Amino acid sequence: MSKAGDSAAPPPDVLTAKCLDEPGQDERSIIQRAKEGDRCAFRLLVERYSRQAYINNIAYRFVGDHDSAADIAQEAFLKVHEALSSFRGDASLGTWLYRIVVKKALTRKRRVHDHERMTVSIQEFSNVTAAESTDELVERERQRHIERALRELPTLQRAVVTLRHLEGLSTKQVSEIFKCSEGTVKTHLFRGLKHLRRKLEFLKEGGSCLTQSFAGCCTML
Amino acid sequence: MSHAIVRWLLYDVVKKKLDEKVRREVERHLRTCASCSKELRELEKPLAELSTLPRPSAFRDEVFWRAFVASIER
Repeated sequence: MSKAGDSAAPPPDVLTAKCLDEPGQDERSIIQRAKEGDRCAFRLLVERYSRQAYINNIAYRFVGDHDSAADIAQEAFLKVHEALSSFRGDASLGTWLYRIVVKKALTRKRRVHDHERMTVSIQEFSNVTAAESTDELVERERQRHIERALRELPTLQRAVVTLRHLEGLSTKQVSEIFKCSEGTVKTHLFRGLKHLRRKLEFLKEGGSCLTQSFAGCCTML
Repeated sequence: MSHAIVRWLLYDVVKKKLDEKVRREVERHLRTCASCSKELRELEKPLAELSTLPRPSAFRDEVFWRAFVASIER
């Protein structure tokens, strides 16, 4: 696929030209213009959704690194660009975009999962810098444990907790992304949070997992 | 208020998203129901932990996305 930075740089005027995005501009009319081939309209959509940072953040929460998150965000926008003509507007563009991002992020996550299990402890040590105080190290380790415990949750639980709690989407929005009922979203949310609590308690009782793969710790539950 | 309704609302209790009237009813139920109170405690801890995570900081700037759009339009 074509990605920003992969090929020769676009002409400077493409990067500096302004497409007027009026705050109250109706998204449906922008989508209609984009469907009709208005390049400026599509760019407005990309700018609106990338500016919200949701797209990148959601992808990042799943894959855990910014480069992969940016790749996923680009792939999602590309998919929207290719399929925009068939977009009927039954759900919002945002819902459609988030659905693509989650699907791509989960697929990518599965691909890298085994590799991550093997390399995580090495990365943890190599990321430690001499300038960090003990308190900062402890805090970083605590955050890493939470993030990794979250990533070790079953797929749907992780997805729902991420979207609902960390990214602040409503139960209704999450239910539209997964095409399920709001009750199902709540069920996965509650199960995910309980599962997470057990994992975090295990870490607290068992001490640091820094010296071994966290994935290994979690599979002991 | 029934157990099922209270449990449906527990996430919103923790997030303080309930309106005053509903919140008071839920709290009245929680004062006398050990199992729903336990459910609430089980949600509070992980939600508090998750809330300490920082927002992802580095996302691509406007120029990056303009270059991306230009690349797919060529």
